[in-house]
Amino acid sequence: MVETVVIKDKINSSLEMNSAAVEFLEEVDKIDDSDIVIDFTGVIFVSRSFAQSYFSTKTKLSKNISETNISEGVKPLMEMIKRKFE
Amino acid sequence: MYSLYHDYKKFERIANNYVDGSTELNLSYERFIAPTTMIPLLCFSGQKPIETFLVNDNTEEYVGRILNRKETSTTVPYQILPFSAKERQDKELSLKITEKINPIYGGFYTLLHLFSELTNNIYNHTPFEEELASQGYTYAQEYPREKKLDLCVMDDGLGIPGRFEKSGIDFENDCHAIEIAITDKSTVSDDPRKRGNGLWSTLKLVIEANGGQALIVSGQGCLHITGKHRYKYYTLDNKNIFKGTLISLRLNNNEVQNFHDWIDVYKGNPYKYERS
Repeated sequence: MVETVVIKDKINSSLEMNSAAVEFLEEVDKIDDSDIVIDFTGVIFVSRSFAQSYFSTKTKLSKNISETNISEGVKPLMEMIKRKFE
Repeated sequence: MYSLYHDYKKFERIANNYVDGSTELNLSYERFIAPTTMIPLLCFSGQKPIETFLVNDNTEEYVGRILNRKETSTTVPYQILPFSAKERQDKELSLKITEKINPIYGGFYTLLHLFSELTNNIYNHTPFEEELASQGYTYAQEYPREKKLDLCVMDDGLGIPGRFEKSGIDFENDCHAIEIAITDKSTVSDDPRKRGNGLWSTLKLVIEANGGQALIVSGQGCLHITGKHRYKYYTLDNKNIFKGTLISLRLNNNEVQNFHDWIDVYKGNPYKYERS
């Protein structure tokens, strides 16, 4: 099974704090499914610090986590930071 | 329009004239009060029994507006930073402030990035929750005639030198500590909750991408940047009146295109501290 988590519902539309990224993924890690999609619908902004913590924490988890519905305004930064962890 | 450094020195003059124990702070001989003067004064007065700001006719309305946190078309009222990182995230602090600023000054995402990174640094490195700081403020003021925007973030916490001391990072003096804080070596924790980006991305966007100016005051160190190759470090005599870190940015009215490209890779710190 693939579980989808809408990140805006768990945090909000402006993802600013790096600690929020860590806490969010720690909660995601508790989900039973091993394939998880993080849905970025409604997210207006992701800070560099948040994105760094998000991808740095994600690489440490054993789950298969992917992202979807990242807005055009947010996508370049997310992709830029993601590349640094590949 | 005075420089950010000049605006900061005005704070020092006012604070140095304060009579210890007095409930009044005398600003009456200053004809103009800028955010870079006002925000450290708010921090200073928060540590003293000050109840009254004495002002003159020129500044009465402006200072009153700031103290009453009145929003105008050119002023985003100062914000007291929330106590906890969670509260700050819950309140979407950077987004809420940025939405009130005219985006011609750097652009919406650039402004969001600046507020977000500068306030993140406070929660990551000198958190209120650990009682390492007691006050934090942000403030933005537009100068439509000069086509500039001043943006300030300040906390009364450990300061950059104090944070480095706590983390075992070697530095020669407070100016040298500021130089290190601009590099990508200033990350003091492997914990992604506490990891910052250094100040390099902020300066890259403000100085190089926008052509703006910056002032960093931390402890007794000060760096005033008016261009990529025009900057000066100062050692300040402010030990009794200033605590923490003040970062003031002055942005021009041009939008930074593809702001993320500017902050992709750290390419060195052009603001070297020359040891005497």
